[in-house]
Amino acid sequence: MGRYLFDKSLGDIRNDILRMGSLVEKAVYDAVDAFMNRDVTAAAAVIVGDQRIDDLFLEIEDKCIKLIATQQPMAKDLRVAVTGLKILTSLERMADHAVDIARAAMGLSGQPMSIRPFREIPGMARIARQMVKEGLDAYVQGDVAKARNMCSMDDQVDFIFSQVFKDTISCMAGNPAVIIQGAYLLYVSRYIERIADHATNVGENVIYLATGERRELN
Amino acid sequence: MSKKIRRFAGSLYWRPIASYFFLIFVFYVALRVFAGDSASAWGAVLVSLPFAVAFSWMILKRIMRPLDVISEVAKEMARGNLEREIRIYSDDEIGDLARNINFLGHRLKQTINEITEEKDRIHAILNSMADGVVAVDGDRRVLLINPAVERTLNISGKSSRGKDIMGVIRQDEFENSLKVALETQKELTREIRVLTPDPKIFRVIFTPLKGAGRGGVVAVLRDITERRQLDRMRAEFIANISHELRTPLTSVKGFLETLLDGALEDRENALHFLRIINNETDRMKRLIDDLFSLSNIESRRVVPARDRVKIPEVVDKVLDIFRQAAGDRGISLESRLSADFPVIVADEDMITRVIINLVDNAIKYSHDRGEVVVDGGFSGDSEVFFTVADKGIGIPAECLPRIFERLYRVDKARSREYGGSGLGLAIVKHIVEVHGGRIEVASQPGRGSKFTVYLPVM
Repeated sequence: MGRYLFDKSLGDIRNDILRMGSLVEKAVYDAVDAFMNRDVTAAAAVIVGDQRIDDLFLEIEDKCIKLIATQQPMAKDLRVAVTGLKILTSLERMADHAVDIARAAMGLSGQPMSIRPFREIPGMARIARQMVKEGLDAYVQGDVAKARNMCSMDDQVDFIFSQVFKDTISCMAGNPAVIIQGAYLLYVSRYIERIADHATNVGENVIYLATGERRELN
Repeated sequence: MSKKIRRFAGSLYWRPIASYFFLIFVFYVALRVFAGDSASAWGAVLVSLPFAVAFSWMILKRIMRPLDVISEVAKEMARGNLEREIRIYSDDEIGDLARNINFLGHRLKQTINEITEEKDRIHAILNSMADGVVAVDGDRRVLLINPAVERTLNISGKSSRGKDIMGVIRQDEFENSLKVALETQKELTREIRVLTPDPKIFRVIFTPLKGAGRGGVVAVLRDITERRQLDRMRAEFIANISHELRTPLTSVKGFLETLLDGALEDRENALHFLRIINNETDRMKRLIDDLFSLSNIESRRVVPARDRVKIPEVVDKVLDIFRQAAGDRGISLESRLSADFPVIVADEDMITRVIINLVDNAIKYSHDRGEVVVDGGFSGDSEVFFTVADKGIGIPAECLPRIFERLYRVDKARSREYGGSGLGLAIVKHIVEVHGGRIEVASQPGRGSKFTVYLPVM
């Protein structure tokens, strides 16, 4: 009976993490979309929506801690509970970065975005979102190969980030009128790059969960 | 042969042996009754043995063997092989049994075929449905996912059977609505946005499964992305068109008020203002004319005439119109269409309009001292094409899919300074389409754009 209850609450926690993951995926998508269109309403919706993610985070964290305290899991069960906590934390950070991006969208509202590296943002965000998605997929399926594959996408994001960084700096150096948008652009590309890093952490945790190996993948 | 012996030995249970002893006893008693004291036990054995052998041989032949065969066939039926038939046609009870077993197999086969057919039919219906179907049980575990869902959401239906829905379709709203439908046992409809693999909007109807054991919910997903996109385009169009009309109108109104306030007295300024007003009204008129022709073509109120059109001649005529203006900016215009370009049947005025709009755009978005080239040829048995290419500013890749939308502008600020209604390409596209043709565009920012129009000859 104890085992049954334990499995059930682990399954519940897993579903909760996935639910939170779906909210985070949505927040990242909406935030980048709001930034691209300088859409204040959409940005505000992301910032307000973060409250729900935070609440869910605390709720799941409590569940995890209670599970560890009352059931005292061992070996793989313990790994499941602990990686759950860590993946949860990564997801929460991603949501915070989505809020940061939404804030940047609000800061730039009504202003044109004319500098060229701006065009790289959707592509970069697409890869980062793909990573978040595949990280969660790998977690669901316990798929180590998928997790590894996902982590290798981080290199692409890093590459685009360094390109955007260089291009933006040279745009700003050439034309002081674009300094404000350039600065926002640097921030936003950095946030996206961090989101991809957190996705990599999710992947590492999936690998740890399945194999017990610790591996630094970015 | 050894198999036969073994089988025979195997069939020698206590029962035949006991019956043999019973037979001996019967013979012994019979001998005693008829032959008196001279009958001995050994005599009984001797006399009864051949009878017993003959008797058991008969039993083996007539009863045991057929029963063996029947039991073998029944066993195979249980394993699923319903094709085998028992070949025993005797007229006794054994034969009846065999016939009944055959009949049973036949009926079973028929029923199974019917059920399989029914199942296949339902499967085929689900498979060929354009709408997505997802069914879950009372614990929100996946019962079924049809190929439409597999395709649009890029998931595997087979491997997700029995899994929790959250692990399969990771969408908070979807899962929530399932929960609500399960708890309230009431149908509900939601619009749900899915982000991966591509952002899509679905209208999902959640219906509780009634009379299915432990309950559950079936969700039917209809892709309404396109409809929402059309709604958005319509809203944008109305916003744009009001903007396009308001801008010149505001300036007309402003200058008219200035004139009324006394500027009319100052002849010099008044003339200048009137000229601006004239220009602005021209712009509005152009826009409204374009809107009219677009809506005429779109609603197919205008049926294209069937003229014999020589495209090279039309192109030359159009290039001549623009030569002066292009020459001022040092832009060269060139037609490379050969004289033997096939004559096509089309509406000459409309085709002229297409070429004017494309050449006008090409010149507008060229750098000074650029070049605009018109080329073309055959692209199939009954299809011709012509291209209008420039080496101008080009179109960013992300804007390409939208440039044929009405009033869509790649760069809002710059387009106004170039003039134009913002409807040119939309008109071109519609004209080409009513002629049964199509238009394609290839472009590289900074390198130029190339529009290709394909038209059927007849």
